[in-house]
Amino acid sequence: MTKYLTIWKYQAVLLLRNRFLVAGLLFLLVAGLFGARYGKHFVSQQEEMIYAVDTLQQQKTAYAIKEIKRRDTATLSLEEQQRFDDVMKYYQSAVAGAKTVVYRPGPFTSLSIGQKDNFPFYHEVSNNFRGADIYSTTSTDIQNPVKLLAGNFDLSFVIIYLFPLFIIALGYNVLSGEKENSTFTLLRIQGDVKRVLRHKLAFQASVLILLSVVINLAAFAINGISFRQEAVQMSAWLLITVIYIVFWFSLVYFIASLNRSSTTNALVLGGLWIILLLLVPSVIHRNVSDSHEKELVQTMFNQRGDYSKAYDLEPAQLADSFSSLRHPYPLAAMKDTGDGARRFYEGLMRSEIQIRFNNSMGKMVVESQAKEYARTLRLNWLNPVFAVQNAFNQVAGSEINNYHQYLAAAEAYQAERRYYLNNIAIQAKPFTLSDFLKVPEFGFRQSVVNLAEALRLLLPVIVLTLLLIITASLRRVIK
Amino acid sequence: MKIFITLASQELKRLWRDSTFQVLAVFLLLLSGYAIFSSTEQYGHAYTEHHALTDTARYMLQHQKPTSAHMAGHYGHIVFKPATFLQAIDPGVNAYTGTTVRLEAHRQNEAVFIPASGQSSLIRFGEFSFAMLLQVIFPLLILFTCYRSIIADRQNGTLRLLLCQGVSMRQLITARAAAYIAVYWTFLLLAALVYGLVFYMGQHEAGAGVLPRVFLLVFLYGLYYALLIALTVYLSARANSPSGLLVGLLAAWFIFTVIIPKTAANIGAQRTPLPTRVAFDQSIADDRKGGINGHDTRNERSQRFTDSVLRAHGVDSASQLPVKLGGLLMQADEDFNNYVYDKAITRISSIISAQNRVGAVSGFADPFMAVKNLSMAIAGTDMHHHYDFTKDVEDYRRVLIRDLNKLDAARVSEFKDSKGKLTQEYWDQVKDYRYESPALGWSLANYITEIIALFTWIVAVCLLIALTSNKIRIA
Repeated sequence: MTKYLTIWKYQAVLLLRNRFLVAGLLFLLVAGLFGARYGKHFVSQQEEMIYAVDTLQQQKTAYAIKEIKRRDTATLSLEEQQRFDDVMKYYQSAVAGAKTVVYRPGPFTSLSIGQKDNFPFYHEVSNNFRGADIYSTTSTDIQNPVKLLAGNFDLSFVIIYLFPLFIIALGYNVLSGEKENSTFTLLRIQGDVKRVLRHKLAFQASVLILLSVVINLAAFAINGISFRQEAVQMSAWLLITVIYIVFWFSLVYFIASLNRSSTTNALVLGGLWIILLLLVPSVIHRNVSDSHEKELVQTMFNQRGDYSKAYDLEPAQLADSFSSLRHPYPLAAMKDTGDGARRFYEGLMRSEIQIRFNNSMGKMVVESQAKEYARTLRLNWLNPVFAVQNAFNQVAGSEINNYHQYLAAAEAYQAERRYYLNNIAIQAKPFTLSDFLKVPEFGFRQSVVNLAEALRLLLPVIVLTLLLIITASLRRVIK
Repeated sequence: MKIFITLASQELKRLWRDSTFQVLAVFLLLLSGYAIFSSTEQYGHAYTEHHALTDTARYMLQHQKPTSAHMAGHYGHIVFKPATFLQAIDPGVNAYTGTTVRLEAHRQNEAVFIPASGQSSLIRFGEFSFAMLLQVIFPLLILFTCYRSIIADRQNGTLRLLLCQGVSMRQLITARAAAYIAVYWTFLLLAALVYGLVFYMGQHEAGAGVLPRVFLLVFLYGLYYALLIALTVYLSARANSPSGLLVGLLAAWFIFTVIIPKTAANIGAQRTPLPTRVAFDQSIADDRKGGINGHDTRNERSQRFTDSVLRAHGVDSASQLPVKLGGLLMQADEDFNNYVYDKAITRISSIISAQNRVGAVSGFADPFMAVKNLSMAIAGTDMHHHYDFTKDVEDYRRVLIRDLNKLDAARVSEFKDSKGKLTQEYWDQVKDYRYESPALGWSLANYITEIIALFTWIVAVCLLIALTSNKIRIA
């Protein structure tokens, strides 16, 4: 035990004496803190935009309340009241129906921006098919494509790109250095060389893990992530970081066990960095990705009115199509035979059919994107770095599946809101202020990534790490 | 000269026998082969898809329901950014710019369906392309193959022997550098040749001016590699420790190719922030409020416009006019909207240009930035080409809508039936949208800073070698 404590102490002294490595550690620290600040800036920009959207929404709400109160306080004759109700029934539900839903950044989005800067982050949820489309892909922010191409300098970038470089710099000569400095024989007479090698690497890994914990905790503090509320996610984030660091050390251990010179080790590890971080992800992307333009253009044709519209249906066809849908509308209540009521029922049916059709077009694109994402994940066994990036993004809620979950929630909310408003209108009840205040609210919350989920996401990385460690342990180091 | 040739040919022989180089060369050839074949295949797919979509949009334009000129303006048209052969080599910012534009009256829609916005974050690791190999992987291989070129002689003790033969250090550096340059230039030319062959075998339209652009790309990367090789060989002559040199060169590569591009883009964005979409839309809505609204004849500006038209024709009512007032109002509305959108879009593009200027200037500190930007410009996949495409589309939209407004204003026309609806003949004679990339000179004119930066680097390295090589200590 004392012997191994001596190795750790000796490694610490060596590390502190090496100005390049100490400067490298400081650089990592500064880069990590910069990444955390950068992410905070990105989120604050998006929140500024969301604040403007929320303000507009509040104005709409205030306007709707004013309109309802105006109707309630107006002195009208019975006939005028009837006419007013006929018109306002649709008008008010439209006023109440216009709502903006927001895909808000989560507490960890600032640490792993992922694709959050590429997705639209608010949508109009209309009660009417003429309103905006939930699946609209029009960008909600003005972006500079050159900046998008360059990517974000967030904390996940620092961990994924910079940490491995430093691990390589620390460990490329962990064994070969002893041979080149002629200290290997001295090491051999101390006992099991492989155990010494493992202790040296364990010391280096501990330093890096400690540094990563410091950087991560500082990043949590900078971004105001509360330990009380986000303890599970924080642990998951830290676990992902640790597994990634151990993965790179297992690679270093494996390469060191091949007994090559320091230069060869540096070349091979540098090459592996390029392969794992540049080539494999980009080649897999090339093979699985698609622009989805063909499906997207269909939504544009549909939006323009190129496909048959629900309002082109004959009344008999309309009734048939509507009755074939699953919906919670009280058909028994649709019994008013007056002209106005008939027009309203028809409008409602056409709107219901059309909204569902429009959403099905949008969902077709989403399904195609989801399949592509699933294909990408299946290849994580060859693409461990993306497995780690994906895990970070899951914690941050910034990956494409998180966006799809938000879209699904927005569509469900659209339906809930529509049913609520239309039900009041079908039952010919006056739309009161109390009804308006009971209109459902959008409450999307990103699913929480706990430790078990993080481990599941990182399964390919964990298996590869174990394989590398076992293979390296089985190799004969002494020659 | 004889010494120079001998030194260079010896280095080539040594390189040929070097197992590291052999492994790297095979790796490089495999990657290049994959890049060439996959990118041409992708281009073929994009080309076919573009034509299919364009044909569908054209068919829909021609076969729309019989409608008035005004409603046809609202229906509009849909156009697509063409797939170009050069984007298969360097996709540039294409993954982050829209590909499809809906053209309609009253609105200047932006290009939508940005490919990256429908993909996972895997795209943020970079798009695999031949340009990626040329910009990121090749320079790394240059470092790996060249860093030992002179330092190995110093370590083996053969450097002193060589210099005793009357060879100057300058000659040694230039000859060794020339040998490596010959290898990488041969490779570049071969790649260009294979690209050309594969492409022409695919029988796709190349478009005008592709060949000079391909040659210019070869020339650009040839210059860049010559610069990198000369600098690496020079540093190899100066360095004392091969592993120290390799670590230093790798660090420089990482800073130049990963850190600086990201930092420059982010500094630019933070120095000159773009307005939010809400603020942008609000400013357009505010500006439009004060203008002519073709759909609201009671609008004050519309009233004034109507009065001026009536006065100009010396009549009292719109029915006495030789043309329909509605069409004139619509065009006036259109002209006013064009003015509002032009103002707003010019502001946005000037902010984006200011942001990108940081990247352009950083070319003086990092030649990779200059090469990257120039490569995108030559391939026609940079921001300026995207602006050019959107401007071209907008010009087409204005002509399309203006013609429809003219028809809307005409009381009688050969292209209108008895009910005032547009005839099939009208749609048949409407020219379809076709985008032609601007000339090469135009592409390069936007990158004067990068050109100056690259030449500054070349001159600086040449001077460094010429003036300081012979002063390098041999011991």
